[in-house]
Amino acid sequence: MSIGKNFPHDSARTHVSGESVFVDDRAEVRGEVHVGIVGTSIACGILTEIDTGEALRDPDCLGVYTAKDFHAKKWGTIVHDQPFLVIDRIGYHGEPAVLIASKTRDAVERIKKKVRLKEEPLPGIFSIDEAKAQNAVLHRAPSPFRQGDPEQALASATHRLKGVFRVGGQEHFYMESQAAIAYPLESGQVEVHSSSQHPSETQRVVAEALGRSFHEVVCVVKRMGGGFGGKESQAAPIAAYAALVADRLKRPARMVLTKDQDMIITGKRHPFQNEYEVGFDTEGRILALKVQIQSDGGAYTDLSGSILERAMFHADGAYFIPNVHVEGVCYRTNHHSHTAFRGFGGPQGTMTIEAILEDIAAVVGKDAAEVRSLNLYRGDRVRTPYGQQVENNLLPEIEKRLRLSSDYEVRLQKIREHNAKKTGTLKGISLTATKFGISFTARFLNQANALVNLQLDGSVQVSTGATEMGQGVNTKIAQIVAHALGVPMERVRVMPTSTEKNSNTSPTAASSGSDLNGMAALRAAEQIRSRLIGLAKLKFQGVVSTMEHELEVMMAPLDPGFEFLEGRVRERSTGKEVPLLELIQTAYQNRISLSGYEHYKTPGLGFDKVKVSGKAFGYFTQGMAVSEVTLDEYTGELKVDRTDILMDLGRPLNPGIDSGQVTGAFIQGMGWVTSEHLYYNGQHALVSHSPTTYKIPNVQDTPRDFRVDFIENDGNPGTVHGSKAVGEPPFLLGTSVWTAIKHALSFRNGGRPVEIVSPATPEVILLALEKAKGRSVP
Amino acid sequence: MRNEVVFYLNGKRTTSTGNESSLMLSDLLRYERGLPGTKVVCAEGDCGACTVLVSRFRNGRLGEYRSINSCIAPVYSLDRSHLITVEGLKRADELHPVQEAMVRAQGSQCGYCTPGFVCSLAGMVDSAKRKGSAIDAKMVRNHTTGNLCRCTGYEPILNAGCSVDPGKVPNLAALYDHAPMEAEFASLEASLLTGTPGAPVFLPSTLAEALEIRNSHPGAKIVSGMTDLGVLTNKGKLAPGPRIALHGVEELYQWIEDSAAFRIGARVSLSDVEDLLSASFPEFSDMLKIFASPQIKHSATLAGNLMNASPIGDSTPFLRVADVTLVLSRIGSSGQVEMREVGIDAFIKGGYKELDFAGDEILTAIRIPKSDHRYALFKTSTRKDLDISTVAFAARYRIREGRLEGVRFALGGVAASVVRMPDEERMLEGETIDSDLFRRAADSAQAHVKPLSDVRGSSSFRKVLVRNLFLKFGDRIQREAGLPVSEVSV
Repeated sequence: MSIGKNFPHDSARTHVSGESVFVDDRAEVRGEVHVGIVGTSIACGILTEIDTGEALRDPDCLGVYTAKDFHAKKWGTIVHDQPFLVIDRIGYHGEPAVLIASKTRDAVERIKKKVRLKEEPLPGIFSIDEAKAQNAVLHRAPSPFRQGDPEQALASATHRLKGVFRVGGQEHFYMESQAAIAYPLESGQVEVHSSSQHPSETQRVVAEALGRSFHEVVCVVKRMGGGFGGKESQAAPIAAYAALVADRLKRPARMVLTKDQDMIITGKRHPFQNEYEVGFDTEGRILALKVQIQSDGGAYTDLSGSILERAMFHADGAYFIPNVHVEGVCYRTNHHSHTAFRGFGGPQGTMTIEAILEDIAAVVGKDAAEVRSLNLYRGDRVRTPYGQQVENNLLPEIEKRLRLSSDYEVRLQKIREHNAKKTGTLKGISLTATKFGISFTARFLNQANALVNLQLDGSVQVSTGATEMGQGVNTKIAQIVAHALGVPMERVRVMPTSTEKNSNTSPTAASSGSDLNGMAALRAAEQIRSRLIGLAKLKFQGVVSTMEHELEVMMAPLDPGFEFLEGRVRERSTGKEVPLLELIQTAYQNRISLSGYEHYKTPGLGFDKVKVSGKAFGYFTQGMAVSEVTLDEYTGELKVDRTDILMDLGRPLNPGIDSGQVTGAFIQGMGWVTSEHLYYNGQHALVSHSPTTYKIPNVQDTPRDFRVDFIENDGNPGTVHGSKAVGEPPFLLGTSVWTAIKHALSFRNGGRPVEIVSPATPEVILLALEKAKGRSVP
Repeated sequence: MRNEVVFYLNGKRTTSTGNESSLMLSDLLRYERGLPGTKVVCAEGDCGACTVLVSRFRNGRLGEYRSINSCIAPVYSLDRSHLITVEGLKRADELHPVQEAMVRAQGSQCGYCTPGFVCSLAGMVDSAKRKGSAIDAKMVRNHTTGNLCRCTGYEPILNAGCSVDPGKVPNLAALYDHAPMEAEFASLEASLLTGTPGAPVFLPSTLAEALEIRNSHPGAKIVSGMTDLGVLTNKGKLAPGPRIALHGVEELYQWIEDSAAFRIGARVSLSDVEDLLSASFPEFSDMLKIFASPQIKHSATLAGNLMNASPIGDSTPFLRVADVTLVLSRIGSSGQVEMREVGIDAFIKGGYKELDFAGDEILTAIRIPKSDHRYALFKTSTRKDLDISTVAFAARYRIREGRLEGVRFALGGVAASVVRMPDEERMLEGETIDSDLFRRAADSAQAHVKPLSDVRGSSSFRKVLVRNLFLKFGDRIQREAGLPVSEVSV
């Protein structure tokens, strides 16, 4: 039995020994060239001239390429609006304009400096407000999500709050920056090794860039040094750069971004600015909510439409809102094109309602956890703003248990006592929730395929479209296949993802990697299993193969009367057994396939965005967190004292891996709302483009007391072995640190709500404290 | 003079010369020696993915293994050392116990930061064994402060680190036979000239030799810990050129404590300074704990931090209030090494990176006078650890019969250089302690400073910080003086 066990990550042993191979770890081959990108030095304007003469004269320079070298000039996941290289109009500061090919790694920077760009600046758009004023819209949600009569309910509510919730972007900070190596093959084929979450799209984008049919391009992904959404769409152009140079020079070409280049060029989590009006009663029960969800999409569309919609889908958080109106607009600005990032808009939606609830509690003079509890989806109050019901709802149970296990009431009382005295520190505590919708909201993406090859020695190779970025999807898939075929884990190897084995795959995104690919792999393994069961039946009947009579098995539904355990196949009713190896030999000798290929699609999905009807999500992953913080009143510095998390992950396939997803997502979420601040200068260039100035949490920043637990839940029958998706949902719980800061600050504002932006850096905290204390800011 | 850098890599001898000897170590490992386990993420010593373990040859033997950032360590700086990379911790097919612990605890997810963490943890275990200390979460945190991970949330790595029993881990020194390496290093000519004709790198072995080269190559840049110049090199802000590297100059590693002062040689690392001064200047030693990562402190020096003349400079505010003297050397007209001593207030001239330092001089040592003063050092930053200060505050004082004496203040991050605050010093000097006094000083300081707005904070934020740090200081002093502080003043 390999399901539900804490197997180490399938690459753990090579990770720790340094033997895991990432793109730039691949040995340089004969003739390989290094590709460099020259970016624009203004954020908006026209590129009028490119002077490449001096660069071409450099003895190490093998070529200089511009937009006109690309067959398709633009790429895009849905809307093809992003130029591979600037054509004329400049979209953002540092946008790739020219590629150079260098004989050596050392010469890349030197050659880049010899390319001269002539740019004519134009006024740009650098905020949602500016975009709004100019009606620079990238995408508008076709219909609002609407239930009840929010206008009427707002008008008659005892209390109303109106406000704007502002939350900043976030750099992915995957440790391995974007990277690709392209190898030109015979007959114009190209093999691209890319650090990509979406090999199928990378294949297509490379083919379009070169003007080839898709079948001339193979994209291989062994692993990524982190992805988090940043390599879902934006890995593709990087691969195309390498491929273009490789194709032109007929030499392998390596394109590896430095961290600085990566942060300047690639998009981030979308900043949002959500305008809301909420009506509630004296108890703090929400009666009506109207929200205008607004995001900064950057210069090009990318995945902004879907991200905006997921923000709308999560504007309810974990709370029932009887009268609601949610609409959404994504604006075009002159920033890097913002893209997918763990949570995909969900965090920006949910954080809005969590901020609102914190303020409601302050207005009605109750503890925020009480107010949240009052509004939580429970009983028959489970209809979402988009009409779907929250089925298998564990939120009330999670809340009850977590408040108890985290000792919430006692700690809240202590905090009140602490803050009553002025000691130089201020404490706050907050409980927030995640109810994350699982499924791509674009239905066609909810499909996967898998290939399972059973070898003659009983070992197994599995290939799916899932890409391994650290989340452990390969380990989980190996567990699923090992379990299905009754072989030990070490006999299963998940192979590099490659578009020649698995085509038309979806990105490894939306937390769906294991759900979709695991199910496809299970079905592929079951195909083999079904044939071997057929052979076992023949054997138990005493049928043997001869030269005259070759054994044959018909494809039949999987017979539950047989089990595959520890290398044996056993008939449950009779207890008869046959070694797996014997069946494999029999199959081979009788020319019966030992490979399985299967396709899977999530059943029952179909959400109509225009009519706002149908099922958007297969299910929800739920959880809650309680965080306690201490603020330094002199400096605004923050310490997270303790965090307790309780998650519903169904029946985890691998509790060790899932626990790591929860702690990792939480800390990433905490960084987003506290220290991760994107700073642009007067020329609208990103200044915080390296870890010196962009501060992701380090080991000293994690909660001093950090407790993660799962609630056991068997009520998720549609998924692979009853498991639940885990990648994104806990990210939203990082918000509890931000609301705890808000809670702490309210003590110095006479209990009234304190408006702060996210991230709550020490500067934000300290200046909010000054304001609350009635001091003018110098 | 020797022309080849000689060092050992996971027990194997390797040499480097010419252009290659000026590469950063991480590039040499990854692209020239087939050891891509060491990763480069930031190329500025801020993420730790490039961490390797170095044992340097000094006084006839290889010293303890220390973690460094290989991305900002030029190959020449590794001359006469033994280097263990992540690949070298695994022996035959057996993982190092730290590697095993990481596997068991699910300490790796994407695996890109993992080699760096493994090296930091292996260094930690080695030092815990040496000191006979048990490993706990605090120790693991302190040794992995310089390693960023974006996947795990650190919890599994903390668990991995805490699960290692130092008693069951072999000494790093026992993994490879030191004897033949030490024998070879002892036999080598100490002085080295490598690099290229256009960008020669001198590694003199005595101070006199270093000063002579300084005279004969006036354009050559002096390099030491390389924790800043390495970053500038990688980011294209420091062009290749002649270098005088001080790594081989034995005199500069000296530190002397006498009854009056500590004299800290220019090559003494910050991690050693942190240990050396822990009894006499506990406040400074504590500040160094959050000053930078272990990897940086193993390479960087106090002298380097001062000569870098950053307007923030984190250690400089302390050096300014502690009345330190700088020992500068040059070759005099007689051909002998001459020393000049200059007080820090004269040394830091006030303009951006403007120092009283002549082109033929080398900062040899920093003299920190002992005193019965107390210090208050506050470093405020967006992230508590491994972050450059938004504002750095240093105060020196003494309380005699309820009155403040010898008051000095210095601030970093508010002007073109680290500045003293003479008006506020005068306001407090000789006064009896009361909260109103500190409030006035805080208001005065806030009115005096005119900080810039930048990536680390707005001018407004810095001004509020300046005021509040003075108040924090005042509250602390009142508590120390035993005065009842019912409420803090902020």
